[in-house]
Amino acid sequence: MKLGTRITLAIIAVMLIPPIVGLQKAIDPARKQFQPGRGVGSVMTDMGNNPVVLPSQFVAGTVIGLQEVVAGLLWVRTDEFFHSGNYEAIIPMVRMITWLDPHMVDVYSVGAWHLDYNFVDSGQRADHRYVVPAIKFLEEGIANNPSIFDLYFDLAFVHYYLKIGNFEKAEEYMRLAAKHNPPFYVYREIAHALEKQGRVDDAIKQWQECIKIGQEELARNPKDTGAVTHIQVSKRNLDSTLIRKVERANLGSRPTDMGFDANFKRLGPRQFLISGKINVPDGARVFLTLTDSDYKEPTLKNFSWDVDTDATALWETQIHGISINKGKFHKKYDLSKDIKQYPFKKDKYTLTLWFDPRCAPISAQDITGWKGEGITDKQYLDTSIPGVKMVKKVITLNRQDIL
Amino acid sequence: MTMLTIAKNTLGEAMRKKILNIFLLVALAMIAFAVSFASFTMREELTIIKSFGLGVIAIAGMFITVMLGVNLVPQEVERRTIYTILSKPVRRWEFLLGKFFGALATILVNLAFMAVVFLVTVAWKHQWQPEWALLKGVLMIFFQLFLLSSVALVFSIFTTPVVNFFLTAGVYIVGSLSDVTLSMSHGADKSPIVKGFYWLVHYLVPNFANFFTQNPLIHPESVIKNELLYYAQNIIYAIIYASVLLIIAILAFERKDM
Amino acid sequence: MAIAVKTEHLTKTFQHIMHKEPVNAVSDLSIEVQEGEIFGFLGPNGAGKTTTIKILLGLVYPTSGQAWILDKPAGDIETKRQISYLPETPYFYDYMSGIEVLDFYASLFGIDGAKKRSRIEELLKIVGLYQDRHKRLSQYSKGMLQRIGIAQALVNDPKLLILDEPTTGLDPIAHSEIRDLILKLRDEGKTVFLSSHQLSDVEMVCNRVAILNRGTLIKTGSLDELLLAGQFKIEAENLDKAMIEKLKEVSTYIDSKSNVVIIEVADGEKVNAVIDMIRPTGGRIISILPQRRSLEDLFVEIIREVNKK
Repeated sequence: MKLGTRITLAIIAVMLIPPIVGLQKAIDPARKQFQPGRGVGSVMTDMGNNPVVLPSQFVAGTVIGLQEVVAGLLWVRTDEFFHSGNYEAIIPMVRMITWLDPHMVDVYSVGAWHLDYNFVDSGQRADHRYVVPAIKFLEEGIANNPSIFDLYFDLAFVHYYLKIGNFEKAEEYMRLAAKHNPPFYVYREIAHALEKQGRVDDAIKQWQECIKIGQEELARNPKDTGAVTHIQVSKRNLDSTLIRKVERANLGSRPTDMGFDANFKRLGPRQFLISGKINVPDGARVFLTLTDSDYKEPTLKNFSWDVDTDATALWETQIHGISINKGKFHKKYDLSKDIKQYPFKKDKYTLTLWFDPRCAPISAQDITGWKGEGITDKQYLDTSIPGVKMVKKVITLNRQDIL
Repeated sequence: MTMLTIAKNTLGEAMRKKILNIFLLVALAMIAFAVSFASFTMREELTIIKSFGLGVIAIAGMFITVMLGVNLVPQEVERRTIYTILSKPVRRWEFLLGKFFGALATILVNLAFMAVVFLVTVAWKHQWQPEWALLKGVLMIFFQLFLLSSVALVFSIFTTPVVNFFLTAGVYIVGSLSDVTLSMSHGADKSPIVKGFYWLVHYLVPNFANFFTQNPLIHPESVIKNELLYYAQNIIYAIIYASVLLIIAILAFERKDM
Repeated sequence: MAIAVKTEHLTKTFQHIMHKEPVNAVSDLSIEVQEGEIFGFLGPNGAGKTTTIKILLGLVYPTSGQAWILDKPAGDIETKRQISYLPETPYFYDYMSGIEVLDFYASLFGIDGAKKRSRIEELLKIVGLYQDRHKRLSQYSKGMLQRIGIAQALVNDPKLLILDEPTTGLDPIAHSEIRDLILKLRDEGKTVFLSSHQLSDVEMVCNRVAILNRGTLIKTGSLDELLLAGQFKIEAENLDKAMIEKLKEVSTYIDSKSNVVIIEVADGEKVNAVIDMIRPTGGRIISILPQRRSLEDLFVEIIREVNKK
């Protein structure tokens, strides 16, 4: 090769270096969307309001594009912990997996469900202290996967709607889910969440909207049997809601006296009996909370599963409420085996017992109305939530009353 | 023409190399083995299979490339076959590029085998719906290995295969840590020397991390902006960078005493 | 006659990383090989023979000096169409069969199609591997590999063949076959540059030789010049002791144990001097024989002499 050729080649090589740097500068910002799980420092700060940071010690293991494999294999191992009942081990695993692959949405849903449903005492009562971490965890998952409906709906339905009974929040997140190409049932659940809030007219509108969405889909795709079913269900529910609206229209003018009362009786150390009466049909439930008098739900900025180990919060709402049987209710509590979950370290405790018509089944709501329009009570009527009537009794207890 | 003869010969020999065959077979077995991963949902299972499959292809491809690349020229010198070839009317650069393209063809064939098993495995778990999009990931791995093999080729002119193995592997690792190098090259709290050093590393060491595009492949629901542009930029990056390395290799090889 | 190989003040210095002193593999080497010659390139191991060959082929660049092959600077790509090279103990891709290897090398010359097939067939027959042409090289014996090496060297019908130790490690029959082949090539008018330390081979086939030691040219010339130069053996009778003592001064060797004294001298002038000394004293000269030494003797003598210095 001639000297001139060699010099020309060398010059070409040198001239190609600036384009290499330029290309790398163009590639860098786009790379995150292709490899979200890797990174150190603030690599993922732009992924939403909950920045996810992968600590540097994880980086080495994920150098060659294997972070999803590592995450996947860890998730398989996590399954074994589920089967062996080693729940404590699951949360750190879930944390690590979602760091490695923030797009494993199922890990977010299962992890969150696990936090607020599965940390339970010997009486299968969930530990209320984990509700906020569960929500934060899902919010992180949503921030990392904002374009799919799954986690919005999971947070809305599994947590706010079923677990917590916050139907406003449930509706909010269902509507977010609805923006991301969801299945039909998401639209229907919005209507249910509206009914639960007592917003009957809005619910009726939503049922009509459901029918419209189904019909539009059917126009596009006449063979979509899912759309057919959806329309049928929505029409049936629309009819029921319209009928109920008429039936429950005048409940306020002829209210039912709840005759509500509830009592606490100590049976032994950390053992007590709750009993009382209320004038609603079977199937409805009375809710109970027994917490430190100064207990407040923690406010977390980001997900963390560290909970206040000194706090006591027995929380029996939604499906955990006390069943009513022929106008009476009673339930024995034995918390002596679960000192870790219920440390009772404070002096004062607040025991709250109440009946919330919004969470009641249809048969009860036929008497109380959606928001308690048909409720009255001589002693315990509570109207602290605007537009909602319920019955509530608050008992203050000292530490020695329980121990 | 002579380049093609040498490339064909390189491919023919490489495909008969036991060590590379073993890598390939193990990789194929591992990809197929992924179907036995049990998990919770359909989606998780697919995630793991896809992620694992792409990972195995990347790692096996990396090993095959490095093993092939470090021996490509030194072996010809050691066996003295290079003397009979270069004493014929074969220019040195023709020989070098012939070897290089032969290695590239070998990598391509190996990747093709793995890609087929990978696609079949994924399809098998997905009601026999072929996910052709996964080939985009394999394509990017190919260009990553294209760049990597040119790194190995340059080093092979200056060093022995053993030293080269560690050098190339080292460059691969540094080039895969581009998130570290990028974040270290920015930030107000760092000294200009540190930042300058990482700037050089980030922009001048071949950036292998660029070529991992598994996220949209593993999670098809992800919304990716300018996907085509990203692939194009990366392919151009690989070609330009490899050209620089090949020029260095040609110039060094041209003046080397055999 | 045209010059096939020429070097002028060729020097190659290697600087090994581990040693401080640079090593001169070849220093100030100037040789000429005429077309049609079989040129023996001799020297002990490490004399710089292979380095010189590599410079001729353009595989190694000289530190200084120049080399030409067929009147073109060494390494010229077009010249390589007319030359060929067989390295010492050659290795070929052993996953290939004999026919495939030759096909590969023929392709490097751009030989194609029917011409290629017939040429390969012909070569396989020349080197006696036609029967084994489909066997893989990994199953070839050392001799067979050497033959395939020669076949690849002949694939382009070269004007100049550079053979580096072509008979190393061969059995006697293969050995003599290759010797015959070289002679046949000479008869076809080809130039052969034969590097070897098998001096008997060189002696049998070469016209001219160059002897190299530690990178330096010690001697070059035609075999006749080198082997006949000097050395006469004179046998004489009736010499007295004083005469024998006098003769010792002019001779290189004297054996006076028997009646017939054997006197060896280095050149023809000394022969005359010896005759002039013996005849006046009544001594009788029985015979005067020019001594053709073996190349082996010459070689050993030269190397010893050089190493003494």
